[in-house]
Amino acid sequence: MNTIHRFEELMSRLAEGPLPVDDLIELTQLIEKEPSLATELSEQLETSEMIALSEDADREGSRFADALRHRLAEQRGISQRKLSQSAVPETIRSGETSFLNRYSNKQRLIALMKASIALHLIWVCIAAGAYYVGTQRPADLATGSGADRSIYGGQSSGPSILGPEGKGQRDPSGKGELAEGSSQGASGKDFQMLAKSATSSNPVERTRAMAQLLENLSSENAAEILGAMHLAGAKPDQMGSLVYAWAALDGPAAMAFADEMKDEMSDEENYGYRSQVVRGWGSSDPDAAIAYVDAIEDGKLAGGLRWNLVSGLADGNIDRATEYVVSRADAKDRGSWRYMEMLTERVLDQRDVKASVGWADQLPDGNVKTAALYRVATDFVAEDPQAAAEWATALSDTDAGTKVIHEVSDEWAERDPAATVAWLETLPDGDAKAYGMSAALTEWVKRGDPREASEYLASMAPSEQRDRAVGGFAQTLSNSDPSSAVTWAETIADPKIRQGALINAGRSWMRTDPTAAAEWMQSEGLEANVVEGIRRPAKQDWSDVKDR
Amino acid sequence: MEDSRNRFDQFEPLVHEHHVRVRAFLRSLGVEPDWVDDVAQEAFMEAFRKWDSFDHQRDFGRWVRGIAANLVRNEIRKRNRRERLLGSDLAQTMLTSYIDHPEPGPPVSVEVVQGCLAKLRPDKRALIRGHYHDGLTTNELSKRLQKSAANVRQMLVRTRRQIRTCIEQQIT
Repeated sequence: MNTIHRFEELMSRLAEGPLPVDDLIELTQLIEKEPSLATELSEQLETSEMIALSEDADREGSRFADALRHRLAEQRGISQRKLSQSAVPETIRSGETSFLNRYSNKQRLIALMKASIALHLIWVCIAAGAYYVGTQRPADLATGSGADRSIYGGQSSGPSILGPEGKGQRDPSGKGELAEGSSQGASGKDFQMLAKSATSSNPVERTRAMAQLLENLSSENAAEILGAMHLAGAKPDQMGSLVYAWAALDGPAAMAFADEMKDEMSDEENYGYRSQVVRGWGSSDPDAAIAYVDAIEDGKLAGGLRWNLVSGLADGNIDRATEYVVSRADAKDRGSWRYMEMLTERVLDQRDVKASVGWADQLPDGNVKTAALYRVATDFVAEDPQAAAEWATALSDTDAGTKVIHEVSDEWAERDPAATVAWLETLPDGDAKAYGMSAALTEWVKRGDPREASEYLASMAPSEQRDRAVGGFAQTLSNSDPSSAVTWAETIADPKIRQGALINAGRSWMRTDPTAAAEWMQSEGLEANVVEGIRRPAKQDWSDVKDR
Repeated sequence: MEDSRNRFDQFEPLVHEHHVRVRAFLRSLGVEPDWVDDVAQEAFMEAFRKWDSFDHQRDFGRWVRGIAANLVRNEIRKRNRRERLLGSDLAQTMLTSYIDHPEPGPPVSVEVVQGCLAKLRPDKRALIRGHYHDGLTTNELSKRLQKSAANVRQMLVRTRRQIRTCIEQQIT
């Protein structure tokens, strides 16, 4: 397959969805060799996004602007209700009246939701559901029957912040805490008081109240707590924590709530809620959460939720998460390398670098292993470059070798380019060495002494490694000294690499010294497509690409 | 707070005018499709914060795209946030290409895009609708159209080019 056909295939697959690491790197390298391809890729991706926007009503401009308004309000600490007062019914604006008391049935709440579109809809829905769930289980609340487990395990029969007999009692200390008692039968008022503290401007009070809510959250009161928190103006991360906690405690109930509210939420809102549920559920009951996600027939929804599922699995047990991601790779799931990238981040968070490298090494060969090795290489070389280089050398004849060596070269050369180049010289010739050398010399110029780098390059025998190394060197040099970059680029033997390097350097030169650059461009022997590429990124001639 | 509301009221029409182009631009820089809207909102938030210092004689679209490009640059630097990019190397390459040759990028409305879609031949319109509206993958489309997946991908590439040309004609 020629370059153009291969580029077109990779580009069209990228427009459709994420590419495996290998393909992504190949696409990047194709563009680096032929910069004009960047324009084509850019236009395809831009157009693809425009079409997607025009075909998806959930992403239309008003919703985008509403979400932006909401985020600005959150960031500035401005009450969202105040910011969008005109869109919110008086019943909410008054603030003093208990939401749960005023709205006596689900239908009225849904009507409210539709009226107050400027509010963060998902949490209004949750508030509605909170009341709805509450009205469906009065006996449980009164008697404490049912699975009234605490998020921290076991039955919540011990001391609680919530008052007995369904009546919360203020802490005599007046610090916003509630007196000891059973959580059974707690009223909406209790939750509202705690929610008010959890959203106060006092960080200590806020943190303490949030911890109390999480500690006392049970499968019975979760929906009601969410409703109270929403009304108190809780931030999305607080609501997310509570949804996560509910799902960790009782995944099926938390997910059933999403089904319950399906018609009242937009797809996007419902998806956001389910994502958090799947994560919490996966952390505590991986098998059930996996079974739930894997049974979803909508591939797009399942793919999105699976990302959160893997994150939740990693919260609970890295090995279980690893096993699942590998199984997805075996099932040819195109998203599996992305799950692995995220999982590797989590492994590095939880384990030391050498243990993380050991974990990545034992993965079965394939894309997901490459993704993991590539990521751990970054941290390994930062901690112990010599050991990382030895490890990468041992991988040089494997599928992942090129990427790992490239990454080690790139990172190590930031600190010691000469040592990096010396190491690369010991490797057998091939792509890994060529790309590594290019990365190392680029860093040598950026962080070291360009003269040292140029002396080294001058000593290199003609080879593909030399061409790539000079290409990288010229590209870096073009920012500070474009005329020298041009001189170096002209010494590249490979025509494609040379033309790409000349175009890059020429463009920089045109910006810094257009007169000198124009004079050079009129010189004899300079290819026409290089001149054209410098003046404007040439659009690829696609006329020769025939239907296959 | 009243000032904030008034400022946003002034700012909001620009959001409506430019959001399509900014979102498309971020996608072209290699931002993960699921994160495009999130990053686009951050770009507009940053623009809103700097709104008072913005020279209103300047091209707002170009300015906010510059902010968006900076956000992508930060994403590349922040290792733990790379999940918002399809790949940091690709993003860097696309970013460099943009910096070398920033396109003018006048605003594009959804209506313009829809107008161009309406001008497509019925078979191409069905292809685009199946892919973007119904969420059919290339493989699913290939079965329905009884063509190879590679052929369907190529048809999509060509149809996008045709739509692109139409959009450019409409906005210039």
